[in-house]
Amino acid sequence: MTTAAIFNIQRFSIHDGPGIRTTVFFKGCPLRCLWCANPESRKTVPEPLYMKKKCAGCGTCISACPEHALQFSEGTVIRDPRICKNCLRCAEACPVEAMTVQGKTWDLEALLAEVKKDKDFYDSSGGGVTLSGGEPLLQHRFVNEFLQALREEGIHSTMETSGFQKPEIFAEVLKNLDFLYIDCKHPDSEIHRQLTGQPNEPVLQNIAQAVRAGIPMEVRIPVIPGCNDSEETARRFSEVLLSAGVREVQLLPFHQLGKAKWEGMFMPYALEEAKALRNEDLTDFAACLEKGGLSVLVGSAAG
Amino acid sequence: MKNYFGSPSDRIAAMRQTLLDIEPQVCVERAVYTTEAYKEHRSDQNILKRAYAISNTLHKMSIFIEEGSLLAGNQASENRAAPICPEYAMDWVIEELDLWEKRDGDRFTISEENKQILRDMYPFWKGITLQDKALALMPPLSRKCYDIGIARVEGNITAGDGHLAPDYAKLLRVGLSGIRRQTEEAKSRLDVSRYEDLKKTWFYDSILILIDACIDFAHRYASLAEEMAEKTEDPKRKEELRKLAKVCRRVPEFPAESFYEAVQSVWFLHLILQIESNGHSLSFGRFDQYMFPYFEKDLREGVLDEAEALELLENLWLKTFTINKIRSNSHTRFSAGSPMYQNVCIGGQHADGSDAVNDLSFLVLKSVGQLRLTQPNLSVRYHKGISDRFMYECIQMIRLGFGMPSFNNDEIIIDQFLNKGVAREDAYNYSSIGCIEVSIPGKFGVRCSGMNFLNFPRIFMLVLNGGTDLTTGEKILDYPLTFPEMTSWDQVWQAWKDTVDFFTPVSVSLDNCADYALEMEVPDSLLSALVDDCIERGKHIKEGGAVYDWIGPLQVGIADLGDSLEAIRKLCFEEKKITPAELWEALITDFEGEKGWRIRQLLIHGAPKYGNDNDEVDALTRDAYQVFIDKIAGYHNTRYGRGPIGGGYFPGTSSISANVPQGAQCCATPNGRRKGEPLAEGCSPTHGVDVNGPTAVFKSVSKLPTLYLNGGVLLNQKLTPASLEEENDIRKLILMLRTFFNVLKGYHVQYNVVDREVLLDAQVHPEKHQDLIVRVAGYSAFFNVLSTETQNDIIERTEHVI
Repeated sequence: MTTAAIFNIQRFSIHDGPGIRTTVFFKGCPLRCLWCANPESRKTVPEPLYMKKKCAGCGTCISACPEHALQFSEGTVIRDPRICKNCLRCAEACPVEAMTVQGKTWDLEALLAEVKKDKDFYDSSGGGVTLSGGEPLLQHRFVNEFLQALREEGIHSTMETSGFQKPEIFAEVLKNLDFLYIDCKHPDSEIHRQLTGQPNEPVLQNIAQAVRAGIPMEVRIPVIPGCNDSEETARRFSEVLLSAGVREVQLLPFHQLGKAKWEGMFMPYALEEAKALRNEDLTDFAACLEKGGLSVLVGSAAG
Repeated sequence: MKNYFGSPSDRIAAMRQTLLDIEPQVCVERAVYTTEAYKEHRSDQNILKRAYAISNTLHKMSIFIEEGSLLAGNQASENRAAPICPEYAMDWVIEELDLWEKRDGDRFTISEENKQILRDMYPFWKGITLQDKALALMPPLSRKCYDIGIARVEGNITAGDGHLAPDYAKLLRVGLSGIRRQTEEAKSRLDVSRYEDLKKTWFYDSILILIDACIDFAHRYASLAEEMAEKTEDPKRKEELRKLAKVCRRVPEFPAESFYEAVQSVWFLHLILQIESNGHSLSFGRFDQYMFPYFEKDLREGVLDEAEALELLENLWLKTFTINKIRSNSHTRFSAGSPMYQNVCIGGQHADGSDAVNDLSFLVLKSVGQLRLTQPNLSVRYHKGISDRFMYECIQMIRLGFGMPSFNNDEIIIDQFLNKGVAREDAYNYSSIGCIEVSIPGKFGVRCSGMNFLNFPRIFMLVLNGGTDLTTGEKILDYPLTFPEMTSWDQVWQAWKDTVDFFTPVSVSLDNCADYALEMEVPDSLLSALVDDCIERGKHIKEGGAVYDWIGPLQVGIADLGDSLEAIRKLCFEEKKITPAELWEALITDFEGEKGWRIRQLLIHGAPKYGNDNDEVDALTRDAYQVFIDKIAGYHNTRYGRGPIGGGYFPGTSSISANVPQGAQCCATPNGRRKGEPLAEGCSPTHGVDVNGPTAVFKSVSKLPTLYLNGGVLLNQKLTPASLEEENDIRKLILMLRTFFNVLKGYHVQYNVVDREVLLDAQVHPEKHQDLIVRVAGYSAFFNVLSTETQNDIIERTEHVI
């Protein structure tokens, strides 16, 4: 049986597609974006995540660790990633859910039952299920089965993806998908690689493919200060997206909601000091894109 | 944020501010004139004594017409002053006289002179008040449970009943003169040689005394308005006062002929009924329906324009806001924020199922939205066919953050009534009353909700302790098995069933004692005259005069009970992570020490909680409640077989703020709740445990047997203002509500839209947040008047960011 690694299922999502939705967050991502808001979603394997605010300071996790990878420092727990073998005992032992296991294996039947809990709400609001991540395309076999099952159940599906996958695999996924959100993080492949760890050619190919397939879609640009928000970049975005057949983009202003998770994964966060943007901060950038021929939506505007 | 509904006129804004600036006092006029009449009529039957007392009060009490007011009628010597009604209870009044100013919440001031007046009348009342008589009636075991607070009926024996919507439609149609005629005709048919008929003469005479008193009361205002008109230099005001005088000469005596007269007539009766009974939850009923013909006609004929109608409505709501009530210190914690629960119900359906929303419904929304006050309590009857346009306006009001309107759902409530044998046209005409409960206007007896409050977790813990209350150490019964001795889940479940078997009759006996004392000591004749078929039967409401009569005791701590049972079942017996003895030790020590702490964390994190759409715990919660629902269905109230359809009990969860004081009296519970912490409110999940969002809460709540919870299924949800900023969010909220109501058949929901930060800041700087209103259970209250304990409780509740 196909299974999937999933790290969160969020009901009553109202900003991830039309209507009232349940968003399924798949674990594992081929990209390593500097601004990643879900650093616990990068690896496919389950990992512990430590939320400092919830910690009672009881030390249970420290005693539970067979490798002695954890210790107290200034009232909080810290982990030495070189020693940690990811056995998860710390999270299993934590009595207050400050250290939790991120990532659980789901089989299709269980996942379907879970998302069907809010079917009444989908039906009356024109909502459905959104596949997000991580990168759902990384677990495309499961995703295909899941999308097929949703279609059979009459549940509308949406995917939020980086688009980083082989075009032929992506083509399969598109067959059973109802709506697509696909990111374009940088117009130039080399800079894309510097920012995300991967080139952008597959992404651009897949955007073009989706446009040709005629699937209802929205291309999104996460606007990150100092990374992709210059006027020159905006001009280049317009060029490459227009040539991929895109007419409209949605801008997602950079936010800092993931900051505590970087700390909780004990990972260095390159954008720790960067300021979150508001919709109005994107006015100039949006104007450049529009000048380049794209129509622009600023902020989340899911119908 | 700009008020979507706009600002009230300068006149209304000024009156509003004046009312908000008042520090409520205690007024002794009602007490003085009642005492005087009781002394003078000491040989009369209680029903007549009461009529003379109210009549004496209405003839002698201070009256005034506020600057700018278009309506007349005040409850006490000053606005927002609370009257003392000595025939109900006096012990607490005398005991707490000096403490009212020092209260943490619901403060009142009283002059030394008035304190002395109350002390002087005390000897007359000692031993003969409603409370004295009711306490004397209680069987010893019931009395013990009452005394230690397991089942509370204090509110029922220290004040009047309320909890209904009188037949204001009839008042407008026939006037008090019409009701007088009906009464006289009924009286003329009596044969005084028959004992039953002899009793009825007292009832009819009391109605006639009261009708005359009401008319005289209105005429007093007419004269006052005429005098004031003479004196004023302002020609516009002179004209207004003359018009008001004319209106007060006509209503409530005669049928209303204009919207203005209808508003004034309803206000007079609504006011006088509250002077009569000192109850609360006296409700306006389906205001937008019975007022509409007058509104529509005046608008059509050009007698009135919409702005004038709006001003009259707002004036009426300001009047409604002037009503106040002082409760004993212990009772006020159950009803935090001096609520009067004067409910106004709008929307719903006509008897043929068509949408009943009309232009007046929109105007009522607008008027209440402009004023943003705690009274009246606005409820909307939702149904499938209600328009998105109307729902949109409702959400705009929710955004204002004062907790209104709340929604009641036709799609389940009409079925509930039909299921009980209520006639179809009556079921379709139901009205919200009080906070969230529902009744049939003009046909249903008092207290469809609000009888005894039974503390579920506490009685269960008591039985698990072998029958001794853990809070007070009082032995209530001998239970053969204590929790540490239990070896199977079946024994635990049996203990819950035994708990219900033991305490349900105790709670019913308390209600019957309260009802019997209310019937004999403080009958409400004027109110009965506005409820069918009291006049025809010659019986007041408490004798069985109403067409329908079920009463609703309230069960507190349902989610705590369900979560506790689930934690015990799973952790002690299924997974065997702790033994019953270990759990018990942790509970009775309030989770003391590291071991206690660890057990508490296990209870919190190791077992699922009601409110997350988890079938296991939701089913257990439902099953546990069902034990009580089945049990209470077998009991009768004091009117059974005496006339009304019904005469029984039904369960309900509209337990207002009782979750706080009843939690304060409850030991630690197996859901990880610490000793003294609030219990869950109504049928809402335990605070903070509902982590799967609002749809999951709706799903959990909908698994309760709502069809049988006629006493109300209270669900509070909280929203941050930010979550309703976008049109799309509003649209999605409407869609979510429609799903909850149309598909899941939810009973009720109401929203608190506040930021946690705002609330925290309001605790530190109350002066900056004078207008901050929050929804406490079934009603709205000013945050600043709530006790710190209740404030903390509100802050702790889960916020759903949508």
